[in-house]
Amino acid sequence: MIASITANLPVFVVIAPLFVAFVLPTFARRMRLVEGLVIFVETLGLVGAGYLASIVLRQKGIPIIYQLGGWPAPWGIELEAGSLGVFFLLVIAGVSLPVSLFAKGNLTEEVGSKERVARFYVLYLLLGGALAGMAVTNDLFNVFVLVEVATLSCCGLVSARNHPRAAEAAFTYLIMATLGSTLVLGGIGFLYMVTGHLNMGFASQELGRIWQDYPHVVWMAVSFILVGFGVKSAIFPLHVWLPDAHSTAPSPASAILSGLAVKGYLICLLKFLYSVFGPELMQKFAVHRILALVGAVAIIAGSVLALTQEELKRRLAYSTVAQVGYIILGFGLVNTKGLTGTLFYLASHAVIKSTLFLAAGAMLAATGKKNVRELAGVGRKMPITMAAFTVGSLGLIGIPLFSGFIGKWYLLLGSLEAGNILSVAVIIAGSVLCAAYLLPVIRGAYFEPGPEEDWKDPGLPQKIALILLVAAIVILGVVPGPFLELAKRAAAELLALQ
Amino acid sequence: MLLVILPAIPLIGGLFVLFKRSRAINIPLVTSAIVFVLGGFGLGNVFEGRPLNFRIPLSGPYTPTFHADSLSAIFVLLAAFLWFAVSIYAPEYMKHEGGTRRFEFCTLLTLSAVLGVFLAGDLFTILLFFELMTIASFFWVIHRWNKEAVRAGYFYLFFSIVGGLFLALGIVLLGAATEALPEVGGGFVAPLDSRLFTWSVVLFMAGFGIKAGMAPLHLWLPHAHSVAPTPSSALLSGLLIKVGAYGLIRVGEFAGWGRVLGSGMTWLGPGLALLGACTMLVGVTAALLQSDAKRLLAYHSVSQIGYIILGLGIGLYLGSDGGLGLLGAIYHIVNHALFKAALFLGVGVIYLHTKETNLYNLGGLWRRFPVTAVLMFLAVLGITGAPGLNGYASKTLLHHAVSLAAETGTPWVVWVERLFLLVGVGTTASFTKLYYLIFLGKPAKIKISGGVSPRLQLAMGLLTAVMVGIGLAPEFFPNNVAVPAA
Amino acid sequence: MLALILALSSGVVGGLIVAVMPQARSRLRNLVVLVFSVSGTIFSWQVALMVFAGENFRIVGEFGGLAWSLDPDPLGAVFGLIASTLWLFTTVYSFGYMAGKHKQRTYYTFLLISFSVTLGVAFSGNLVALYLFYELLTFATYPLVIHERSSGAVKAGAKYILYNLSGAGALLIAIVITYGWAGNLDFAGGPILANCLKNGLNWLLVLFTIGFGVKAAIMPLHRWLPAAMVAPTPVSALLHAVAVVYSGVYGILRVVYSVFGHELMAELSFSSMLPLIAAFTILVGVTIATQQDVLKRRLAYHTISQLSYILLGAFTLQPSGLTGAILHMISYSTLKVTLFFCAGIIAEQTGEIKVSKMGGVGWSLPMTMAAFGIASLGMIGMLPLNTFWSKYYLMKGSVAGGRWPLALVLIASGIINAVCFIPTVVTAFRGKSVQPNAERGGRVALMLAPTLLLAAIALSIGLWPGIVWPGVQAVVNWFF
Repeated sequence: MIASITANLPVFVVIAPLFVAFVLPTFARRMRLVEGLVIFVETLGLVGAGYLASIVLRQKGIPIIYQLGGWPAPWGIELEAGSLGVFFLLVIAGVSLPVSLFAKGNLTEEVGSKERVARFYVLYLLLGGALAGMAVTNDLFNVFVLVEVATLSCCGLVSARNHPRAAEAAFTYLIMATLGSTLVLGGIGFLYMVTGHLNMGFASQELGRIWQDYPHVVWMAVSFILVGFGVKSAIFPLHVWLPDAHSTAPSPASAILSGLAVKGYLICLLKFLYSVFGPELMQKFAVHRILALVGAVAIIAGSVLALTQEELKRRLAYSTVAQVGYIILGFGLVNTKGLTGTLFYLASHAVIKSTLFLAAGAMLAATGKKNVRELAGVGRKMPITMAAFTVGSLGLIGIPLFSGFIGKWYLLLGSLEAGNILSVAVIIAGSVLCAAYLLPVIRGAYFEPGPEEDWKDPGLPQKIALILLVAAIVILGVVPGPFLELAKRAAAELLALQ
Repeated sequence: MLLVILPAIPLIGGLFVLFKRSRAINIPLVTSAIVFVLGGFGLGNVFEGRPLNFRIPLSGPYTPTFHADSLSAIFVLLAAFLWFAVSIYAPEYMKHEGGTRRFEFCTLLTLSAVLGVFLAGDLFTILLFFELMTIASFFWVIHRWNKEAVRAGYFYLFFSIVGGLFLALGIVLLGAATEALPEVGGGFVAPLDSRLFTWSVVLFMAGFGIKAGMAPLHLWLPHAHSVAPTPSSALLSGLLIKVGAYGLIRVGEFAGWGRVLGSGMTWLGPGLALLGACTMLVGVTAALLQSDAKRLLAYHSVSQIGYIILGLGIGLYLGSDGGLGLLGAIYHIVNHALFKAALFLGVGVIYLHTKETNLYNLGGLWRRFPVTAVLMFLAVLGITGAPGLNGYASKTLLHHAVSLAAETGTPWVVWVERLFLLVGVGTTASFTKLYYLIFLGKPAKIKISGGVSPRLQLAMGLLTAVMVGIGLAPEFFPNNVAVPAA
Repeated sequence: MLALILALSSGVVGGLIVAVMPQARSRLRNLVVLVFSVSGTIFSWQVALMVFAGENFRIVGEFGGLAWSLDPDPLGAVFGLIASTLWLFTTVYSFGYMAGKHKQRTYYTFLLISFSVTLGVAFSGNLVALYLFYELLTFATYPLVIHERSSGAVKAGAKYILYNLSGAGALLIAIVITYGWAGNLDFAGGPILANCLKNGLNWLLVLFTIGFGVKAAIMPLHRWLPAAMVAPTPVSALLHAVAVVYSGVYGILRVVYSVFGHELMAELSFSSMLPLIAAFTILVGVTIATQQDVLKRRLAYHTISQLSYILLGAFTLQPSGLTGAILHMISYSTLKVTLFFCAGIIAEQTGEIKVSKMGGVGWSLPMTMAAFGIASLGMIGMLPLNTFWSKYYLMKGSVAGGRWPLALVLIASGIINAVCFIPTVVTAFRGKSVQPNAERGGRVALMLAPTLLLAAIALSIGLWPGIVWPGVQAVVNWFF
């Protein structure tokens, strides 16, 4: 019995949210039930992911393979819960649960009506399922399908708020995301053309053998994939849709969008680059240099742009652009330390950015203001919220004892190992800039006198959500143990292929 | 133990001054008397060649040591005596000047510091008391708190601070040049690194030279000594600059007194001698141009210190035959202290009653101040080296030393000898002018107030008595006192 | 072991308690602050004395695969001693100075927390712990810098954070590189990079110097310090004349002696430039100080100059130079705190902050100006003050290392110091006093007592340097 559950877990974690998503609209009126179901399935997902992780760790990294419909590869779709997959599953589950907790009871004002809340959750769960799928899939076309599902859900989530700007942002996003998807599909097409396989493992083997015969095609494939996912992950300068989208979405949505959705695409990109193309090919095509450079530019550009933003949520959105730069830069470091760092950083950012967006959302909702300047004195009136924001900020800057520091440490080690001094400088400069655009918020909140308004901390579920996230940041910063181990294994796996 | 008590007595006296209300007892007088008596008895033995040593056993890099040999004893007794005499004078004078209490306090602190320098047994202790002396005497100079006094004070303080810094660096280099820092009075030290040793001696000379008023580092002296209240001018010129000379003697000691100097140090003797000669010349020339009595006296202090330094230099130069020069220098130190103090006190008396120090505004005062005039005359005789008074003895000794050196025929020494005579003439001329303009000549049209208090005259009298005494029995001093020191 | 934990936690615990106490109970709060300051000080002393006696204790931990440790050695013990003792003095002074001012709760909270963090810096046993506490120190002291909440204060605070975080960034890179090359980051057991022969060592040294040099106010990384003078005087005295800047100085001492080791340093070309940089800072710092009219800014630039004395001693790579450096750490801190305390008393009792307007102040505040005068003499390096000994050994170290021009720099600096301070003291006693005897009153007594006591301590150490000699010797023997 246990064995069969274990064997099927990879697909369960993908299917379960999808299933509940489909079922949800029938209970649209009963908010409590809806929210309860969502939280229930998220919890299940977390448990499942945790269990999978423990198995994978015990198995010393040997993945659990699941074949959809029992069809073996290369004809069937294969799901592979290896270190990387499990790692990301944990991230997804670990972040979505608190976010759903936060969303409890909070959404009706933002979204409009109870039916809309139910639809929101449908999209939310669809996105969750798609992301889980992206984590474990081993099939090229499957990736595309999941990416599409995710994109459309995101679009919906962005437009959830009843606001003209939201609609505009969603539309922009839709256009750009579709463009991205098309490019991705094109890339996949090229790969299929050349290798004749859709299974990642087989495709990469084939690619290793025949790429010299079709260098241009491979190059086209790489570029298409890069740009396609680049648009979706908001890599500078393809990021233009993100600030509008993430700032106009309701707070839980912003959290998920910045925290998880973007990461999902990045994980797919990672898989493509390392599992399909392979580190050797990457280096032959100098892709790693491009990545490092693009990442560096993104870090600086994103941070500088964030500095110029007056609205808090836009500032956080540009911050995401910068942080994505870190991850991309890490992708360009073709060594274990660098990849460990980038994965850990990815996870860390997911948790931190969600915390920041949720806290920001709570503050903006309570005060009715939008700009950073207007938030003076919030710290004393909403202590828990602001404390969460502070912890998130410190983590993002990279202060030791918080998760961001570990990620940055490994990124630095990896950059040094790769001899990439520019990266080293940019990583540090990014931290300083991050401090520059986040610390004034904190300073204003705590150290400036605020107006005599009745601002209060949000309700209990929200507080618990924030506390959970903060705890995650600190735990990851102080005792990352198994999690770091997973990241290291994942990095090793990615590099060992081919 | 005595060696620590002696400097401590004035310190305690100072505390009394600070906290006592009534002015009944002249505390500085009492204190300096005690010091003189105690010193005389306690240090009597050292003249027979048995130096005293004392150590305060503190942990760490610095153990204060105290040392008394003949040289120290001379200076200690000189200081005590001088302070004693001036303390007779001071209360009366300061009644007119004002600020008696802080003046007395500074005086006592300075005495304490000065005694500390003379009784110090190691270089750090010397420096410690040296700095304390600077701080304490600084307040003498700025006593009046007017613009002039403050300017002079800054001058004095900055030069002294630089001097202290030079001494500190000198100690550093000496420590690097030898195995262990030499103790004061410990005799010749053979250096490991002669270059560093040379530099350290240079720095010591500069540092002590600033305090002594050696040219060209003497620039602070005229201002400081003229702006201070007269009793302190007397002590400044009388003793404090001798502290610098004392330092130079001690430096000479471990540089190799009385022996032929090693290759690195042959310049030391001639160097000092030349500097001494320059100082003599600079001092007397400037003095001749002065119209202010106190400034004139101050420049003469520069000049006379030059004599002393010249003596030291010649002594070093002549090596094992140099005893004469050293002897003369020490003798002159004592003598100059006496007559310079007397001169200042006399000028002070005049100032007190006429409010004038400008020579050209004074004149014909022998009628109003007969006693002062006589006593001043004796002091003038002393400083010009007239036979019958103390100055003659020391100047003759110095001249003999210079002649001895000149016999070697080296050109610069010959010039120095000529200079010696020239300066002597200049001194006489200058003091003639001084005396004439104050006491003789046409009576000046100035207001003269009151009669001279007997106390002031007593003080001067005491000094002159000793001067005369020495003058009449010149052998006493060298035979019993100075020779052992050399 | 327990002493170590208690020493470190006293400040934090005290700070947190104060943070949650109601604003109104100021007497109780002051009592709590005092209790925890005293406790921290006592336990630090205990730790230090045990370290000097040769005992060894460590606390280790790990996060994210990085090991950190707390492992006081003589250098850390000396720093801890200085910091904790002066913290106690500053606390008492603060009771006087801050009485009746706003935001006292925030002030005392962060004062206590900074205490713990500084001790963390002092007692850290490897680069990771040092980095951690170093970064935290910036944040713990930030609320103290912006205490006045004026626009000037906020700007100063921004500068403070910017400079410090940039420095920390450089430091992080340096630590990562060290880790990559040496594999371990512990201070105990010999210099970390002792057997490491790589080409980039000079650059690594540059990075470390920048990293710690920000807090140590090496020119040109010093600009945050004068700006930070907007903070209340006790903060300026303690943090920006002693604790924060000493963390930087301590860091550099660690780099020179525990990371590179004096033998390796002698072979690096950059290390021969370091004494020159220090000499430059010494001279330029005190010269700029002379031109400042606002007293606190004068003291700030003077601090910048004096810190480089310590660094100069360290850079000579000689035992006597290091002796001078440690002696100066001890001596200078007592005097600088005295000076700042005096400045605070003057500002509070007469309202004057500019030197040019302080004529006659000495007659209103005689004991204060006397303390100021004594401290000024110390800054020149004169006996009978304790800084004579540090200067002496610094000069000795310069000569021993063959770099005697540095000794001349020290002499020149002494003279400029005299120009900087003596006129202030003299002017203070010229002219009439504004108000007679402003030194009465309980509030002033709280400020005056620590000031005078510190001056007395400085004099005592000056006359008997043996008091601090065992500690100094312990440090020098540890490294040579």
